[in-house]
Amino acid sequence: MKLSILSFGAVIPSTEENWQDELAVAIKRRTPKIWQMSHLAAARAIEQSDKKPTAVICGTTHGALNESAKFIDKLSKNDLGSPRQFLFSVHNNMAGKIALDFNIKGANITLCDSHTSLASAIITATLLKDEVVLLVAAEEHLDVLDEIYKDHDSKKLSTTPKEGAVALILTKEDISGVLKISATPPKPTACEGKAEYSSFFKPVFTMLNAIEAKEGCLIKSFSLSAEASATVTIEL
Amino acid sequence: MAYSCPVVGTGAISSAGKGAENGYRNILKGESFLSPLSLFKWNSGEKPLVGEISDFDKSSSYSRTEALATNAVEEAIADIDLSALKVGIIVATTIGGVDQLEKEYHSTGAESAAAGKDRYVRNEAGALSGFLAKKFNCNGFHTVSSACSSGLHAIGMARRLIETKQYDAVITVGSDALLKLTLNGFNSLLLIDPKGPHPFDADRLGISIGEAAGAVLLMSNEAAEKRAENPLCYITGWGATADAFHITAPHPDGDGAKRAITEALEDSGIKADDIDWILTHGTSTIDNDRAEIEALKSVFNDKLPPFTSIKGSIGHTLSASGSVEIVYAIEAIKAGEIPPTLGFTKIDPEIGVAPAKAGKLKLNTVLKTAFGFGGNNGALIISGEKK
Repeated sequence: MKLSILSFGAVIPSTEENWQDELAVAIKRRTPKIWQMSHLAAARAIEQSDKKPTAVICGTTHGALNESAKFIDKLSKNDLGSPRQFLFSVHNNMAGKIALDFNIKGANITLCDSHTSLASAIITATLLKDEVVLLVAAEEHLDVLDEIYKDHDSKKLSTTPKEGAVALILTKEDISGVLKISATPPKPTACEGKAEYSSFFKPVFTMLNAIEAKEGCLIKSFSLSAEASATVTIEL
Repeated sequence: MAYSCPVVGTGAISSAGKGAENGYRNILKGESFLSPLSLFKWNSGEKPLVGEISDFDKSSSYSRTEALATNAVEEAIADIDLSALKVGIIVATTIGGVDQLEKEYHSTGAESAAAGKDRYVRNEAGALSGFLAKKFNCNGFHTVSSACSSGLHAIGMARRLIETKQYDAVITVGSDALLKLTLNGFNSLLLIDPKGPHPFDADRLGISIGEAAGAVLLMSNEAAEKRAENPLCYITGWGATADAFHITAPHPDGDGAKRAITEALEDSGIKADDIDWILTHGTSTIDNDRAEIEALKSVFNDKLPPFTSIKGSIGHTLSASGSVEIVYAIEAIKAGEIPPTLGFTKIDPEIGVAPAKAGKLKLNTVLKTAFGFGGNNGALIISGEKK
């Protein structure tokens, strides 16, 4: 099923120095960066759409893994973890916070399929009874992964944005003249691509460029970790 | 017309035992399968009661969560001909392979170097699904990580994927192992009851964490008929909503839960009166149990069907809870017998109703609920016959 793209919003910190200025103080001070980016991307998409979404689908490979790491680090030092860090570490609390911030009371589902999460999230959006869905893709920079991937893909490490969030308002309605998006499910395959640092955000970033250029494109995403591939198609 | 999707295989592993039927029969005995934590060191005083699984095959798996899932899936697909079918897998997990991240923080530099990149790769929730998809020759996969309602969402999504003919069959598996992160996390929120759970009881204080995996194999009617598979039951309705109220606390009126249940009933094309039994989320936290009963009362009015929680027996198994409890609900339909709500002794005046007593009950249509962090609600209807 193809979904019509009603609007989109994005936050890429490496290209937008003062992005946090648009955030309410409570969000800026009390939530992890990945939540902040996803909130702002969603706000921008919602503002541009004349239809209000009734469901939220989020995709992220790692969620607020920095918070999980802090919590576990404390435990490893025989300290007690903080409840706030634990709450942030739960992958789907980002989607819950978006629902709370924008009063979206329909389905609220989080997909975690590495690079192929975008494809998974699009397919999930087609399965809901909700007609208009807010899809949010977000990934934050993780120090711990820099170390892992620097030897594996050092060129891309320096040239690809490492973090950001994209939000799309999608509808099942077939609207002429607007870009449509569709996906194939992630398939376990012999991996044809290389592991890339920015996991989910890389295909989403490619998609964003295509939408901004108002051009159709086929995004092939490969995930070494899950040894999987998927395609996302954007077309008029 | 509602789509009735056949369930042709199930598998389960929990502290009540390995195997769907074996585990359910043990739960029916009314014994507790919670015991003091032994899996890892505990730094916060008296060891909590947990639903720990001591004896299962971990040989072909990298993480504990993967091993539990593998055990459940192997049982669900045993003796079922999946050849020539397009088969998908949906994995529901909260923690995936976070035990690998925990190991990293407790490793020496040399151990860490030896584990290499794999430890990080296996940390990803999606990696679990990818590897299970390869292990069981599936054509595609998805990973749902929506906290404690993940398992029900996975089954609801699988039904729609089959209804829209994207797959002939879908294996769903919810799996979460016992971890330092989750046990300490719930403890930091003061949600662990050191005396164990007492669902819906006046003196309930919180949960016990358990570990489990539950697998459900759904198949299209055409493929099931062609293979002469006799469905165990049908998935007939799914509801998914958000509270949009608070990041951890449920809506006090059970608003989101009520809408999820109503949506599942509508999706199933049945009336509230048609529900024979409710296997509740029933975590034993003060807020959850009160909100859940509020939701049920608003849907069923004065005709509340018998309801039960089995978290007093096996603990709260997080993302696996929806999956493994659906498997036990299917066993209840087969056996015509419902289990006790272990730990319940005294009616909470704020709730005003008591869970059902264990015993024989003719079951055709069952409602299962699950609610998670982020105000995330799921409801599923299963039926012994096609709607």
